[in-house]
Amino acid sequence: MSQLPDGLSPDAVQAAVRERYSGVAAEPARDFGFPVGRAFAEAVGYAPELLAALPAEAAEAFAGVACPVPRAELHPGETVVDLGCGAGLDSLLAARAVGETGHVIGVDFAPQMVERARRVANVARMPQVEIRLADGCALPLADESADAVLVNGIFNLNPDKTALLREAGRVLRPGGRLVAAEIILTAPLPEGEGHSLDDWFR
Amino acid sequence: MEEYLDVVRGAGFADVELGEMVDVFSGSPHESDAREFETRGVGFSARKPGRQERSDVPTT
Repeated sequence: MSQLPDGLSPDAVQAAVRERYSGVAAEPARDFGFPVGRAFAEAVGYAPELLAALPAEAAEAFAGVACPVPRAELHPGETVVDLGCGAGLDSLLAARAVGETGHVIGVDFAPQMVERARRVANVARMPQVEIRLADGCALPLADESADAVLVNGIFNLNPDKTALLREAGRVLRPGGRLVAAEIILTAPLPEGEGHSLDDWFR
Repeated sequence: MEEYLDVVRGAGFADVELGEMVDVFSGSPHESDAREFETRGVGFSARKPGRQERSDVPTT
């Protein structure tokens, strides 16, 4: 499923997304064309007391869509992949749920986000969190190695949603859960919209 | 929305369920764009079928 308008290549979209989200990691207070930050996280369902218990750097650069972790019903000892982990907010919440016997692998393809998420995990002293730099469509993970995959607002940014879903399915064990939050259009785009890279972030 | 969930099913997932709708852009500087384009945040969950379930699926 690739829905790119004529003239936009998947590589160009990927490069633009990587650049934009590296910018969010470096300067989260800037205007990126979409909401970012702690107040936004609270608005989409993250409890203030939960955010207060985690390193501020995680929520400062939050750019997800909702709070998917409670819906994942994670258990101690489970392995979780946080696909498009950003600054690591959901990875930390998942780590609290799976505990020290569990394993959370946050994956992001924006190098500055990965650096930020690694700092956050270190500050939180959660050694069960591992952050990796990788493309969501080519995860450096074994087949059927995860109990749950979390996705918070990256399907809408990826030109090939089917490839991303299939990769999530590859790393999930049979019976494993995919829990996602996504931005969707509920009506067709007006004529003339969606043809530029800037439209991709509106 | 159903079209989107069909993509999730088509990628091999079962028990695809729609979750909460989130007004992602409410109060943001981009709220008017979101309203114009009828943009919503939505949660969904799905399950990877077990091996037995997958072997039960007829192939053509």
